[in-house]
Amino acid sequence: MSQYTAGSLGDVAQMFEKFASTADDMAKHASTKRSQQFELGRASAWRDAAQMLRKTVIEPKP
Amino acid sequence: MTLSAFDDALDVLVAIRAQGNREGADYRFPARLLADLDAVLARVNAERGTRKPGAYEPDPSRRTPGPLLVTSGIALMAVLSVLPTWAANTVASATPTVAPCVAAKGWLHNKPREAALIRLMYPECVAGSEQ
Repeated sequence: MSQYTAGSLGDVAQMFEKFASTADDMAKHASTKRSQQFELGRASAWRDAAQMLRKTVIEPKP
Repeated sequence: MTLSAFDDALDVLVAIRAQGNREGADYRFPARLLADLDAVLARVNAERGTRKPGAYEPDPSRRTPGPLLVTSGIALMAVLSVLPTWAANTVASATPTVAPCVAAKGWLHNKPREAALIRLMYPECVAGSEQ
């Protein structure tokens, strides 16, 4: 399918998930509601991207 | 999504790593996270290196405005997912329908390090267009 192995494809998706988790942690420690919302939005974006990678590139359904 | 979108995703990670914790960011990525990112990028480098001369480097042409980046499913999804939040945080009168460049410019102002994401997703915004 590609020049990448399944392992590296998964690694990249996992990195997106790690960035999402990091943003979640930042949201928990945010000093203002505004910054908390910003971090949660960022986490959502990273997580959605990871899910899209997994669904369409790594584990595509026939 | 096509594999080119996966390359766009890689470019995002490369751009984030290139900037690391510099530019006086108001928060820092954990060192462990960046170390993990280094390992992933090194693995990709190695795999691409077995099939192409040289190690993986983002294609310079992908840094210029182009339809591939703008229409990339992952890039668009990532932007659209957070635009309402960006708008709420950066543009006083913003709504989820705010012009993408307005929200992007607000984010560029507040988060200079991660401006790389915007340059990848909305290069036309960086070039000066407000809409």
